[in-house]
Amino acid sequence: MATVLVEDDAATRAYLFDALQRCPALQPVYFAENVASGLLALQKHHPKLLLVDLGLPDGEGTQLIAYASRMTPRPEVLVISSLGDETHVVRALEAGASGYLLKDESPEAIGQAALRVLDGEAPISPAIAVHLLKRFRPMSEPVSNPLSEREVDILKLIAKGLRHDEVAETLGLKYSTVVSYVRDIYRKLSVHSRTEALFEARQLGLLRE
Amino acid sequence: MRIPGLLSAGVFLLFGSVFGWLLSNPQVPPGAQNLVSLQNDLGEQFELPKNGVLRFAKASSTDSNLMLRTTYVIDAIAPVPSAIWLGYVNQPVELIVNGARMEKLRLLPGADDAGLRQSYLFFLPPELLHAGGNSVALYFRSPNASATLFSPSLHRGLVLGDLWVGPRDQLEAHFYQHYRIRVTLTEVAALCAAIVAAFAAMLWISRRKEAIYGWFALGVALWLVYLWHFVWYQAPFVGASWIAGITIALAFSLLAIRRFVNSFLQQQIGSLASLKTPRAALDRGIDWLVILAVTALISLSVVAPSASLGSNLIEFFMRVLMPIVLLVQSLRICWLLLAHAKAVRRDDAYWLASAALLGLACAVLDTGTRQGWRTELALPILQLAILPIVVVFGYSLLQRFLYLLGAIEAENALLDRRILEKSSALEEQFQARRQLEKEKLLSEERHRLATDLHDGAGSQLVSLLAAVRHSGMSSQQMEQALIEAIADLRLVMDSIDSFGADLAEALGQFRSRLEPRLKAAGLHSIWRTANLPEGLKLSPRRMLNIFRALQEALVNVIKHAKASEVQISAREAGSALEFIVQDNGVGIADLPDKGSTPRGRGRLNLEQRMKALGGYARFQAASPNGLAVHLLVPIPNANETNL
Repeated sequence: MATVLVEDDAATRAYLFDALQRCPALQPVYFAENVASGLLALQKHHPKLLLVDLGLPDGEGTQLIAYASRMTPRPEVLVISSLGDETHVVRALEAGASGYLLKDESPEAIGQAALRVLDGEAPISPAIAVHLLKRFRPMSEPVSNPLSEREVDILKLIAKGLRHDEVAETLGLKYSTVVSYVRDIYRKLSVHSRTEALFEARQLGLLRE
Repeated sequence: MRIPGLLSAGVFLLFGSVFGWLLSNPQVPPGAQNLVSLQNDLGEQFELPKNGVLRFAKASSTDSNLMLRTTYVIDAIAPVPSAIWLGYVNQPVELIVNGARMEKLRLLPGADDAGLRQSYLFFLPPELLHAGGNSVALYFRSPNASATLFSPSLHRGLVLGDLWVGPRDQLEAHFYQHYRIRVTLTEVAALCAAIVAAFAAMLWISRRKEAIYGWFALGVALWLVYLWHFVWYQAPFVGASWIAGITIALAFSLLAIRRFVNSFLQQQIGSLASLKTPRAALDRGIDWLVILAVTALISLSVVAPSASLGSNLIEFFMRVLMPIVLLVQSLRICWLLLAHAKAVRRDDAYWLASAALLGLACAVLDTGTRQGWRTELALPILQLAILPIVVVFGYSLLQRFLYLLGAIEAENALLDRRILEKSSALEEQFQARRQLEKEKLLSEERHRLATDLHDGAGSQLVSLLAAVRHSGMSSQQMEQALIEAIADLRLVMDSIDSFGADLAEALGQFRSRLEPRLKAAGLHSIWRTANLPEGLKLSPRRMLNIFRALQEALVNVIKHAKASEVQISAREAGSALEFIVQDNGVGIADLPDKGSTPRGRGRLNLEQRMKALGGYARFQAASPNGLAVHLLVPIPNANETNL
């Protein structure tokens, strides 16, 4: 079960590499420093987990995320974020990432986050929840709100800072149910943004029916 | 192909004149004899008819109403005359043939003996006539001999237009073809004039300040009074007074029409000065002439109805002065219209001028008839001229009305366009202003971010650099300082991303930032933020400062409290927000004074921050142990958004 780490900053790369090395479950860890070598690594090693920075010297990390989400078996993708700000993270989520990782976390926290994603968890911050709530509010007629009422409730609680366990308690759900809801929401976000892109392309006449 | 206005107006004038001439000339029915020119048994008592009016002395009989008895002897050999036609008679008449009184067989509908200008057709039964001389006697009677308004001679005047004897079928055909055409034409003219006058009157009633419509309506209406004489044979009152009345009506009608022409031309060309005709003075003079003539006529008839001088003067007025007055007015109208047509050279101007000329021609013809310059049987024609005149003038009026309508529409369109231009200019201004406001907001926001970065992470990094340069730092201290700088940087970043949301959501984000740090420091955190109202929004800067204060309080707990649990609660208290950070650590006992210890400095910082927010910080011992920090922040009104 391999891990691929794509990060252009040498210090950060070394720090993250070290942190990942401490978890046997993630071994072996391969690293790359740009989109091209990242792609090669993905093709060569078929990793279970991809950690990717968004700003790379020869392109966008989202290219790698999009490639990874078309692979079978599909690797879990964590985007490496400096500040955990929603603009960067949401872009990655739309491309198909399952969550984000903060560069300044302690090595233990980084390892745990990686393992949790492999277990099927999905990290989410209140700012991202707020963004998702806004994003899915039906703005144009052909694209209706794909979120269920339950999903909206969960996002609203997360937006107020509640942890997954607190959300589960408030709504009377199991912890794992909340986690899978969040993953569903992420998946919908990725599909939704692709649908929107298609719709816009049609509107612009770039695509034929 | 467009026919030039001058040509078509000329053709119209020529055709109208010829037609009028033909209509005014009596046509002798084939096989008929004109009895008026025959000698009769009262030859010594009356003059030969002049101007259609027979003058006579009152008959000496006891019949006081008898005006004229005239007897003819007609021969009934070949062709046998079978009818007598009497046209345009203004007095009741009886016909006695060989001693037998004849029934009047043909009358116009609605007319009777008292009417003016009646026409009759008598049928002569063949059994009554015999070869050789037959006696045919006509008795004219006045219905009211004693009613006199004007001169007795006028009152007793007898108007007799046609008097024919001849074959019945020929005279019947004459009645229908000649007489009926004239009547129908006159009726049509009267109808048209009435419609146009009513239209103009309505225009005048709705637009009082446009006297032009009023003059036109008055002129045509007065002319209708004149027309009455030719259309409705039932005169309102009988005799010379009525004749004088219609003459006066005609004079005033021309006066009104002249006024109308004046103001019409004035509106058409702006000023009459360009027409090179004598202007106001002449018109005023003519007005006075009309008024004087009419006043003199009326007052003479009131003051001296029976005096011979008076009656002679009235005679003079009616025969000489009034025709002159009418002719002068008609000439003036023609003059004005001709000058106008010459000046503007437009189709409608030619038409107007030729209509006026036609009227003038008819008036001259009628005057000639009345003065006896033409045959006794010639018929008046002016009443027919009103048809083309009214049509042409009415058309001009309509044109003017339509032109004004078009001008109003053009004006409206212009206004619409101006409004459109104005509103698009306003829209541009509005967009420009919005752009300016947007830029202003952006620049304010940039300024805020720069200040926030400078005051927070920036100054932390600078002081860290100074500390490293000055005394050197352990890597642990340095890590701590960097963590704090990054934490502040995150707060600033969050203030960009999510602080547009409401306070509860921003606090949620804040919690997600702080929780891992608290956990890493071994602190269990309990957040009680459910009581915050939904939708409460503060400015990004205010939120940032609140969160910085809360962060400061929490960092103090991490660094100094030696606690295992911290509770963070937030609630709305009146017009303020209250935050409580309560730990179960060493408590206030270990908090001697501000500034001298690190914890004291933390407390001082916190107090200063709260002061800047317009609130305050309160420190209380918690039970059983620990410290509770109360932060009270007022919620500003919507208009004070800063801080």
